Parts: sequence; C-alpha cells; structure tokens
Amino acid sequence: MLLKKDIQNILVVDDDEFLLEAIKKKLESSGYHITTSNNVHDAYFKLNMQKPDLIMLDIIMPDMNGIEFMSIINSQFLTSDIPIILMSYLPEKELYNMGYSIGKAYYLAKPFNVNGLPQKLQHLLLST
Amino acid sequence: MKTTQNTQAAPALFNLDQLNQIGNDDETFTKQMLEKFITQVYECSESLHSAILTSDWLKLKNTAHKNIPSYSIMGLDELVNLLKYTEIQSAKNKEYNHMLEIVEIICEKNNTVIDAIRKHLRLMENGKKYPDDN
Repeated sequence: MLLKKDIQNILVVDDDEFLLEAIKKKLESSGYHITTSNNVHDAYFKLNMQKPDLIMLDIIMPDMNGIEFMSIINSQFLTSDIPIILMSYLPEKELYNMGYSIGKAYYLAKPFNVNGLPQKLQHLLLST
Repeated sequence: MKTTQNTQAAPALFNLDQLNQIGNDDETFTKQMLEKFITQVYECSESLHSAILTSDWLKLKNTAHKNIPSYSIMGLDELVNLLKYTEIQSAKNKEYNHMLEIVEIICEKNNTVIDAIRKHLRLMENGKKYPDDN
C-alpha cells in the first residue's frame, strides 16, 4: 500500500501540454513535486535522471504508446519498482482487446476533473 | 458562477471555472494557460485539416483524441462532442466528405474560440477579470 508520504516526486507524461500544465499546477498545490514530459523520449531521460516515486502515463501518444513505454520502465532494474498510473479514454476491456495488458499498473479513466485529481490519486493508491 | 457570459443572453463560449479552480484564482496562471490554449487550438485546427486533406485517418483520430481533455477543461462542450465524434468516425466509417465537413465546422468554431479568448485576455489586461465586470 502506498501512502501519500511515500509519494513526493511524480513524473507526468502526456502529449497534451495544456492538460500537463493543469495537472502540474493542481498537484503542486497539494504538495507534490511534479515533472512533466510531453513525449516518451524526454520522459525516458527524466525518468532515469530523477527516478520519480510515481509515474502518470498517458496511453495514446504519438511516438510510442504508454503501455509500450511502461514495459521499458518495468524492464529496467532501477525503475522497475516505480508504480505507474496509466491514463486513457480507452476502457480496460478495449485495451485488452487490442492485445495490451496493464499488468500491475493503476488505471485512471479519462476524462477526469483535474480539481479532483489529488483525492483521486490518494483513492487509487490506497485502494490496492 | 463566473463564465464568459456577457450581460446579454448569449451562450457562454468557454467556461473558466475549472481553470480558475485549478490555479486557485491565480490570474497569471490563467493568462498563461489561455495563451497556451490558443496555441493548442491553432495546432489542433492545422493538424485536423492536414490529416483530412491527406486522408490520414490515424492522425485525424489521434489529434481529436489528444485535444479532448483540454477542451473539456475549458468547458467547450460542443467542440468536445465534435472531437469525440471525429475520433470515432475516423476509426470506423472514414467517410471523406462527411469528415471534411466536420473538420471545417471544428476549425470555424476553433477560430471563434480563439477570438473570444483573445478578447477575454484583453479584458484581463485592462483589469477586468471577467467580461461582465463593470
């Protein structure tokens, strides 16, 4: 079980920069330290430089989808233990039908109200 | 509830409630986000247009998909529905003429939104947080 005290640094990866800024502002006002990336290459660099406590990862992105990126994160010794929240409009069932499995990741359905995100985050992390 | 509604009965084009709440009514944050959103709306129109003109259905689908959360934050419900429709149709039916028409409607509405946001930013510069502040 992950409590808030365990989560300080969060890497948020999404190609929607407006949404990224909104998430960053909201979560920072709740006491988290947020790093953002709008593409997987930049995220990969920041991931290895900073080793965040949590990664919030959009699934549909142009260069590589979030689930493929998650498998890279999980395959690296230094990052494999970082919890991941996958964010998508696609229902989990549809992802499964596309041949993807979210594995041990958490799932956050889009669209979500950014203002409710801190509570949503806590609920997600405490519910397992 | 503060929106972009003016004193006449014109429907609100966009709604800043969610954005203001995210930024705890930080006016600088709101301005920066509105500027960012204008850029994003331009890019959205350009990407949708080039996608449909080249019948790049995947690009059309992904562009629509990508922009839905931002448009939702800005309370652009009609455009959100059009983007959702575009996302679905570009994955299923792929009817060129119909989707060209939809893209043109979205781009026209995008232009109207950009104009309205620019107007709102000018009002903010003049010290009026909302257009109906007198």
